[in-house]
Amino acid sequence: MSNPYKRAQKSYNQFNARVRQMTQKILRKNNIKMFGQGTQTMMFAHGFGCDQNMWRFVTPAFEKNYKILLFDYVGSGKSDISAYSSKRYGDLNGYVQDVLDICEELALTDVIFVGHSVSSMIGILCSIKAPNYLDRLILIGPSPCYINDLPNYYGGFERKDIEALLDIMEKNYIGWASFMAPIVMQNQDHPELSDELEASFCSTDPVIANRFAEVTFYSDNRSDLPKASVPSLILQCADDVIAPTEVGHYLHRHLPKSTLRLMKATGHCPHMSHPQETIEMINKYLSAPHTT
Amino acid sequence: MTYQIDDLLNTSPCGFLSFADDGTIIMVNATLLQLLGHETDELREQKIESILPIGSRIFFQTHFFPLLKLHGKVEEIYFSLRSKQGIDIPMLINAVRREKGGNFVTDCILICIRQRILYEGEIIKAKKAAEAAILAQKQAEIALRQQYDKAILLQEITRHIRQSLDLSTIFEMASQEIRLFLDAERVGIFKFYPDSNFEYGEFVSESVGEGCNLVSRNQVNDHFCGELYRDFYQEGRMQVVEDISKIDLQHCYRALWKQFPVRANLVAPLLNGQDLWGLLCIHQCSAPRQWEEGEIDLVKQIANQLAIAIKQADIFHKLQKELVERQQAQARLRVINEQLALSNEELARATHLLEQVVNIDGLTQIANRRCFNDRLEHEWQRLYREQKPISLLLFDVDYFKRYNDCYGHQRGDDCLFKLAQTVQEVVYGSADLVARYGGEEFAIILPNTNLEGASSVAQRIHAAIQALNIPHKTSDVSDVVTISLGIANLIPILELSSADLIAIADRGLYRAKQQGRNQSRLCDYSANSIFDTDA
Repeated sequence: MSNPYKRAQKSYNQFNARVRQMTQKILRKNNIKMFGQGTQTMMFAHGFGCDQNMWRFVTPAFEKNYKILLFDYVGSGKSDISAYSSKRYGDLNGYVQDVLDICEELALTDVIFVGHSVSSMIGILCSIKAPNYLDRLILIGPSPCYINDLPNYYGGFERKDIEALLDIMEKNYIGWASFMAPIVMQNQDHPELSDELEASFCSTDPVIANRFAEVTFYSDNRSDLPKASVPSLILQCADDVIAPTEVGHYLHRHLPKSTLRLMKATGHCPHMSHPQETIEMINKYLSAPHTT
Repeated sequence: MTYQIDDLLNTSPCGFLSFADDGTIIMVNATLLQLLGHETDELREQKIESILPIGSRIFFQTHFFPLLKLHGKVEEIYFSLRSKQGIDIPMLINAVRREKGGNFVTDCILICIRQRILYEGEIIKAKKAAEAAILAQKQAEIALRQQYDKAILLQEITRHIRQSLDLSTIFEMASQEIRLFLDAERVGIFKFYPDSNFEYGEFVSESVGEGCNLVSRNQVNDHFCGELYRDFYQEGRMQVVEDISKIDLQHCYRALWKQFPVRANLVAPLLNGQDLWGLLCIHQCSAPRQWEEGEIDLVKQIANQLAIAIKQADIFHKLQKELVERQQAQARLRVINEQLALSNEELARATHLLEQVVNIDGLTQIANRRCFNDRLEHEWQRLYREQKPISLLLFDVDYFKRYNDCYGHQRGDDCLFKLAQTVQEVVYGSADLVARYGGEEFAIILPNTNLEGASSVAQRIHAAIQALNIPHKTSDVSDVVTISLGIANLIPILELSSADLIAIADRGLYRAKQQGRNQSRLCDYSANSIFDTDA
């Protein structure tokens, strides 16, 4: 070991192995999928209640010109549920950090971040925390705050509405299974059961799903908006019960360098219900020169 | 046929509803309409959201629709519908999405599950209560476990302290155990140099985790601790810093800690009695750390135990020093004693010599007059108490003056020596004493000896001297040296003294000479009184 070259080589190998290990860990943790022929990365972040599969109606339109990166948040889809920690994911920052970790680990820059619903806010928070990773933000059905703060702010919901949602989720996720409650609670020991649940919902764990719902709908990031500096496109659907048009306008007013586009599409998931319109709007925005 | 199917649909025991992808209701059967309190066609061309309570709307948008879109169907989904009267009715829904003339339509059957959802509500409530109880129990178990682990660690450290008086061993073990237990990156024991006014010191023991520098080799100069922290630590207070970069620090400290580096630290004073001896330092090098109450408490307790060890070692050190001093003193004393013993021996020898000189006659090497007097007095007293007989023989050399004149003083002296030694040899009673009485006169004390015994001793003396055969040509009674001998014998009585015994023997000697020398004569106390002055 006296040979400095060998020593350096060994240290490099160890370093490399460690990096590979780390990368593998993150890839597994967030069930990362990458494809596409472009150089610039388009990172698609799913919203609450879903997983990366929701993007399959729009990604084919971008894979020729971009490198597509799909992932599942911890607790959703096929992510590594063992990586879940109620402390880390007790607010949106844990999810923000996951996105930043992915960018850092895969050495991504100039990323076009496409976020649906709550992921829009996660994207905005990422851009505030580490603006260098991101080039543009595409925000689909975003809302900085879901709960009404009348008369100053209309978010669309009262707390009791969210409680009703949590109740519905609870009964859907674990309702009938309540008769086998202990088994559901320890679904790591009974993967067949969680597989069953996963097939019907895009979440691995009902408890985590409920927590994610709370984190999503009780978050209030209105005060963060002015800090953002990365250009963004707000896609506002018609008749979106989750993110009403008022919210889209509010966001556009308070988010620097934002562009608001009102869609013909109705509902909350235009990328699923109206993929063509969604694709066109994104392409149009991306082809336009940067505006301030 | 169509009519029949419509009829069947409208009268079926479940609700039926079709809607387009944008949520527009296309068809509702009579069962559902009735359940929701609507008139025929009242819901047609309405949005499905209009019959959904808000919670159900969110669920519809975030779960129901994405699932339908992804999988083409959903099964056994629950949400509520809102009736015209504003009452929410829980429904169980199965749905299929199908293409119809280029557009997508979703068909749903809906079953009212009021009763069932109530039960489920109860079950979930009970389940949550049970989960909360299990969680509480688990937390209690964890707390207990931590408490137990802490107790074990403390016990271990305490045991080591009791077992060992070697501080470096104790410190090494304690730093290692604390580091592993707290999962800290560095645990060090810092000692102030005595008399440095808490400005200088060094890490005397240290345990570091992977990727953390050892700092123990550096001497630490800390000119500010003396002023700033001495009183603070001396009061037994701890320094708890979660993030070094976020507190107001002296510039020198910042540099000091950056050099190590330290991000978070936990410092407890180590006191030797009232004096600040050093510090127990727990460092987090790579990241800030929020120290838990239990951890702080544990470190404090360990610091107390270490303080005991320091105190013990200090006392031990002092005792050892004392012991060494005492041993040295003892060694010195032993040397003196040995010298003294030697002197004593010499003294005993000298005393013995002196005694000999005092009691031995130099010429004849037998007891002298002084010794004779002492012994006679002693035996007289003894035999007086015992009322036993004592005999005394007194003799002198016949015509010894002539012998001296004839053969010279040297030969005279030789003659006396020979006589003395010879008589000594034939008088062998253990209590008997042969002494030179003076000049050529000799005396023999024979305690516990009657007249018969005394006479027989006298005979032996005569015979032995005869046998010496020392020529004496100027003697009138023989050709060789002879003696005249007086014998006294009595049992001591109060009226007499040892001097009287000598006087009686002397009278006997006198008679022996008068009767022609070279013989023994007895002077009987009763027959011929010593008080007879004319004798």
